[in-house]
Amino acid sequence: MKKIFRFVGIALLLAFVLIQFIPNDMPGNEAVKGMDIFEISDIPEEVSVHLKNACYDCHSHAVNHPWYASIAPASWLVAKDIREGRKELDFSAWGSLSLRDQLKLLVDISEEVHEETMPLPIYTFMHADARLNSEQREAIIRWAESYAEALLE
Amino acid sequence: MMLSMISLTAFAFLLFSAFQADVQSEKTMSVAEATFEIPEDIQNILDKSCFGCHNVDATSDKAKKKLLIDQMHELSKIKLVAALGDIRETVENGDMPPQKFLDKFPDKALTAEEAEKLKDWAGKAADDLLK
Repeated sequence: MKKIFRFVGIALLLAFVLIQFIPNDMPGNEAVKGMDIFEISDIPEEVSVHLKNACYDCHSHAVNHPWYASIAPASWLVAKDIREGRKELDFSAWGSLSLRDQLKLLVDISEEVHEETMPLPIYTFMHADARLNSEQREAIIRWAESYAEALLE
Repeated sequence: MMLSMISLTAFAFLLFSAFQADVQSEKTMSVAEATFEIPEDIQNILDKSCFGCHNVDATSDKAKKKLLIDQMHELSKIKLVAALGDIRETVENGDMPPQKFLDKFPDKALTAEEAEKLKDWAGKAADDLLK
């Protein structure tokens, strides 16, 4: 029995070392200047801090890669989340979006923040500063709604 | 006596303001309604592949929460643009109708031509609303 445990332990360790050599295409931070939502609009501070902490690590080209982003298999998950996150919404490319896409995304933001599907629970588990209380969620929703209204004017 | 007169005037004023606000909101609503109409060919596609789950009397709460085709005209302009964007995105990604549903009802699948038509319409309708 002891031998089996030792064998499994060594096999797992070996697998862990080996997977570090599998190439992982981690998305970079190459943003187009002047297109970020922060460069285009005035975002109230009570909202901006939460957008940066809770959203920007997947939904922008200003990602702060966490320490585990270079350790497989966590690095694979980080890369996948960033790729998928940017595909849905990229705050760094906000200025390149059409008005209709901006409006749709603002509605999406307010719905997902309201339904607490965003930020992802797995992300907030690792990042305490990304956890949003109801007051902070309300502030983001209010901002998204008023920004959408302002875009229509 | 004077006090009653003032109170009566204030009450009448409040009543008038409330009435005006109602008229105003009705106006806004009718503007939105007037500018949004689903063309017959698109309605036929929606009826075939989407309406079964996305109408007020449907059974799936999840589908109803996402989109109610028969209530789209009641949405605010922003929500309507977002709903049209969702339709476009969903069709583009091939996410709708869901595979599980298509396994049971393969004839409800969107043809490539229908998908293209739906996407074009959703984009154009959103742009028209924003003109």
